[in-house]
Amino acid sequence: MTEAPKEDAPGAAVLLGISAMIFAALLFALAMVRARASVGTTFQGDALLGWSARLAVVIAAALRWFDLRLLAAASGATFLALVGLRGWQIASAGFHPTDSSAAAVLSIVLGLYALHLAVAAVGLFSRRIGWRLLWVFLAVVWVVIDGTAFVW
Amino acid sequence: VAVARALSHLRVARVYLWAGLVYLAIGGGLALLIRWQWAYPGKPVPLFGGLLFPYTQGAITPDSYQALFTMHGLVMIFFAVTPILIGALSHWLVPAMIGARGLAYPRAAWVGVVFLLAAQAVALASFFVELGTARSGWTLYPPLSTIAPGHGQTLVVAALGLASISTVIGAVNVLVTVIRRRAPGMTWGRLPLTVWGLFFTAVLNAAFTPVLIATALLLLSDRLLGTEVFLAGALAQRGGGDPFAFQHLFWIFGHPEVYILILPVWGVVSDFVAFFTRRAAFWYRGTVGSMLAVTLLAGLVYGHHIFTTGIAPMLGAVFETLTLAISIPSTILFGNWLMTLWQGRVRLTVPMLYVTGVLLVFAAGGLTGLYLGAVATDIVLHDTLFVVGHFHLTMAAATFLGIFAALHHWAPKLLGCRLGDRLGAWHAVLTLLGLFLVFGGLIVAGLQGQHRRLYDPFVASVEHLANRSANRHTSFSAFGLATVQLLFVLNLIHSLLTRRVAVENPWQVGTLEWKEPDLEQQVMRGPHEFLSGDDEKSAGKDYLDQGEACPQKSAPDAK
Repeated sequence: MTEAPKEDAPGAAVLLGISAMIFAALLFALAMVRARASVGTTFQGDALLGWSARLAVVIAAALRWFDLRLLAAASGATFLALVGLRGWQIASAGFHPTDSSAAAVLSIVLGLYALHLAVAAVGLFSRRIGWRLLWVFLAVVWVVIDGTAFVW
Repeated sequence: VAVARALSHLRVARVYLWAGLVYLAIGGGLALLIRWQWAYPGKPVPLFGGLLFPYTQGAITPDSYQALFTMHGLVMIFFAVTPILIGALSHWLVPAMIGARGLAYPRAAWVGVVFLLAAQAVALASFFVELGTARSGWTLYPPLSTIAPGHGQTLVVAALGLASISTVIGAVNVLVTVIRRRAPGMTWGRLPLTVWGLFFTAVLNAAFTPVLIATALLLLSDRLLGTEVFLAGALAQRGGGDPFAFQHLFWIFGHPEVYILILPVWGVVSDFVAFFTRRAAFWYRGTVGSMLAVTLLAGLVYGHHIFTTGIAPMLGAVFETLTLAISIPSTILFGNWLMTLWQGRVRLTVPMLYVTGVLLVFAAGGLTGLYLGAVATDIVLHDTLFVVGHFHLTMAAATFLGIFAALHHWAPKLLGCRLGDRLGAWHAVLTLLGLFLVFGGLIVAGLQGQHRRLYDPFVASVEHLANRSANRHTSFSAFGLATVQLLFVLNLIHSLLTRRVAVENPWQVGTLEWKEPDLEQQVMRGPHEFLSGDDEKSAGKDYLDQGEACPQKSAPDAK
C-alpha cells in the first residue's frame, strides 16, 4: 500500500458525516412512517443474495482502502449485480415506490445511495484518502440500510 | 498569491453580508406588517398597503397574514441572519483570525455563495407565483405544508434545501480551515473566542443542517411526487405516513439552529468584553468548555418543542432535564463575561455598547427560557406570545446586537471603512430600548394569554380585548425600532460614500485579523493579552499582538 495524500482527510470526513446525517434522518423517517402506518408486508428478497451483497460491498471497500483498485472495481461490480438481482426479485414481487410511504422513503434512500455510488465510481482510481473513506462509508451505509430498511 | 487568497475569502464574506442585509430589510418589513395587523386588525396598511394588498384596498387578509407570518420567520433565520452571522463572519474572520492564508476550499466557498443566492431568489420568486408564497407557518408543519395549493410552498421548501446546502458547504470550509490552516503557534488554546464560536456553529451546522435537507427532500417528495410520508388520516390515500415524524425531524434540526445562531454571538461577546475591558477573558477554558457543552447538548434537547404533542411523560422528563441542564454552561458563560467586566478598564466603545445590550437581552431571554424548558409551565405557555417573546430575545435581539457589534468593530476590514461612532452609539442605545419594548411586550401579552398565531387575537376571547391597547403600544415600539434602524443605514451609506478611513487597528487589540496576511506569521500568545502600569508606558500601548515576539511585560530576562 502506498502512502496517499492525507490533507483532504478532514474535509472528506466532514462531508461523509453530513451524508451520514442525511441517511440517518431518512432512515429515522422510514422507521417512524413504518411504525405509524403499520403496513404488514415484509419482504427482503432472497436472504442469500442479501448477505452476498453485503459481503461484496465490504470486500470492495477493504480492497479500495488498500488501494487494490481493479479488485475493488470487480467487487463493486459484483455488489451492484447482486443488488440489481435482488432489486429485480423485490420488484417482481410487487414492490413499487408508490405502494406506501415506507416504500417511497426507501426509494429516496436508495436513490441517494445510488448517487453516492456514482460519485464513488468517479474516484475509483484516485489515490486521495477521501475517496477511500467514501468507499468505506458506502459499505457501512449499505450494511445499515440492508439491516434496517428492507422491510416495508 | 497569499494576498489574492486572503482577498478571495473577503469577497465571499462581502457577498454573504450584502445578501443577508437585503433580506434582513425584507424580513423586518414582513414583521412590521404583522405588527400592524395586531395593532389594527383588518385595517388597511398605510403608505404601501394598496401596493402590497391591492385586492383588499390595503388590508391584510387572513391568508396574507399566514404568508407574512411564515415568511418573516424563514427569511430572518435562513436568508438574513445566517448569511450575515455565519456566512460573512465565518468566511472572512475564521481565516483572518487564525492567521490562515485563506479558506481551505476557496472555490467551494463560491459554490456556497451561489447556492445561497439561488435560495434567496427562489424564496423571493415564491411571492410572485399564483396563490402566493408559503402559508404553513415557519415550521412548515404538515399537513398544511403538504396540501397547501400553488407553487409558492414548493418553492419555499426548495429554497430552504438550497440554503441548507450553502450552509453545510460553509461548515465544511470552516471546520477544515480551523483544523488544518492555523498559523504556526496558533494552538487551540490561543484561538480567539469568536473563532471558537464560529467553529462550534460549523460543527452544529455539519451535524444538523443535513437533517433539514433530508426533511425538505421528503416534503418535496410529498408535494411533487404525491407520496404521503407526512400525511395521515383522511388526507392519506395510500396508507399514509406520519406527520409527527416531520415534527421530530424539524426540531432535531430546529433546536440546534438556536445555538447555531447564538454561538457566534457568544464568541464575539466573549472577545469584545475582554477587548474593551482591557483584560484577558476570565477563565478562557471555561468559556470554551461551556460553548462545547452547549454544542454537545444542543442535539439532545429538541423534545421540549414537542411537549404538547402528547409524547410519553418519561420522554418529556428526560428532555426537560436535558433542557434545563443547558442552563449550567450558559450560566458559566455569562458568569465569565461578568467576571471579565469586574474591575476591568471598561471602554464604552460602540461595539461595547452593543455587547452590553447582548448581555441584557440574553439574560432576559435565557431566564424566560427556563419556563419553556419545564413541562408544567411550557404546557400553559406554549401557544402564547410568551414563546415568541422568549425566542426573539435570544434568537433575534441577541443576534442582531451581536451582528451590529461585529459589523461596527470589523467594518474597517469587512467594508473598507470605519462606521461613525456618534450615529453608532445612538443606534446601539435606541435599538436596545426598542428591542426590550417590542419583545418585552410579547412576553407580557403572552403572560396575559394572548395566542401567538391568531389573525385577530381580539376576537378569540373577550379577555383578550384588554390586550388591544398593549398590542398597539408594542406595535408602535416596533415601528420606532424599525425607524431607528435608519440610523444604521445612514451610518453605513455615509461611511461608504465618504470612505471614512480607519486607522490601522482602531480598537487596539492583538488578534491577527488587523494585520496584513503574512506567510511567515508565527503566533506567540493568546488573543487578549494587555499591559498596564510601567509595562504599558514602556511599550507605548496596552495590548500585545498575538504574533508579537518579545513582549516587554513577560520577557523573563528583562527583570
